[in-house]
Amino acid sequence: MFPIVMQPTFVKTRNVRNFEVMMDGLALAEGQARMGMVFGEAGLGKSRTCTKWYADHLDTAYLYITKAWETSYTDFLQALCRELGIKPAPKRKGPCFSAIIDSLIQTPRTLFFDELEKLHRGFLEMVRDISEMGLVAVVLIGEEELASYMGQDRRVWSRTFQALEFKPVGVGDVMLYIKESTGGRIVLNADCADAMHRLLGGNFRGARRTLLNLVQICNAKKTTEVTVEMINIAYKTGLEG
Amino acid sequence: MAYHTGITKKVRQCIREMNGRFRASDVIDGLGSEVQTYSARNRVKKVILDMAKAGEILRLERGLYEYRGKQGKPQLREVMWRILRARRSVTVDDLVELSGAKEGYALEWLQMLARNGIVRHLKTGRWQMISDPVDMPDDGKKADRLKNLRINKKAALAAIALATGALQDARVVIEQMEDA
Repeated sequence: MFPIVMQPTFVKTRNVRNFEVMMDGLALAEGQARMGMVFGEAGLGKSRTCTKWYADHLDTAYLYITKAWETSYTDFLQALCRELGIKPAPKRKGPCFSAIIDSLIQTPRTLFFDELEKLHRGFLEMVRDISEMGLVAVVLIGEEELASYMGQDRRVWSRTFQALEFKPVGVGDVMLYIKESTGGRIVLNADCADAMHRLLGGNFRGARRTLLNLVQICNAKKTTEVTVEMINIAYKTGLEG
Repeated sequence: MAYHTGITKKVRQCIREMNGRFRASDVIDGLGSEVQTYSARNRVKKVILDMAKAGEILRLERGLYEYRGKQGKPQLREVMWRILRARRSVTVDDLVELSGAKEGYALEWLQMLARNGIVRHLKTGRWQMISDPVDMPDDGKKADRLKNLRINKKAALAAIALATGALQDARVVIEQMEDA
């Protein structure tokens, strides 16, 4: 019966399900240039969800954008060459770009760019060109600023096929997360789920820590009946570190 | 008949280098001295047929193919490798959650990467990527160990079969002696 063990589980929250629908929608327009956008507050699971999709699908590539590329298109393109397996990456911008397009035409891949809004809008135009000439889907991942970053370029915005805002997690998502992570051993009632949801503020980052503490409390008390008080203690313990 | 010649890898590499449409004869010519006998050529043709069945190459018309790339679900190690490269720093729980691997397998894999200088284990429990070769490193030592295990097992089973046969013959002789 005890101890309850918490199993790391990727839970298909509403945001994840919407993301899958978005990716399926992009796939329907295979052979055309198209852009997608995943944006939202920090801690809602955008990068994690995209990482999982990238890991499970070999026909994708993922590039985390660094500010260090701000002054050099070549550095950015060389990093992309590396991700696409182009060896050796050409030294100049033009040949780099051509090699990328050739590679994408040969082997189409969906490209994920995480935090492109760190760089100036010239990079957004370059990414648009890659999508246009490589005829591949490009998905940008970022925080709230990403929407305005893309919206300011009408040509990019008009090609934005799919836009998905990751919303704060709902009460249902919290209940699902706890149930699946504990193998169904802990099931919150409505009051407890509501209390936990309020404490987390719709953010998943604190959820795992809080749940770990809650499981420890349940094991110590040898009970699966969770109360609001236990949730408050688990949350505060997590804040204290 | 030789097993584990790695012919599929060589055929795949040759097809990739052709970078376009090809026929079986092109692959055979491309492999050169590796394919000299009739049976070797047949093996190459069989590999091409298997790759077409798996969807890795596309049959455009009779005898003409085009390389598409590997389809289907990636292997677990490939999934974990892609997660590590995307996140740069992971915990065992991250790999378990995002790849579906068992905890022990994920830990063993990270320890293998640490031995190869790809990651280091931090005091926080995270595993940080310190070198990125882009292509997933092969756990050559374990693969060799498993291969030797299979060879030794096969030899041991053959020896047992031989010994069983000899014992059976000895039993027959003894029974004949008793009858006599």
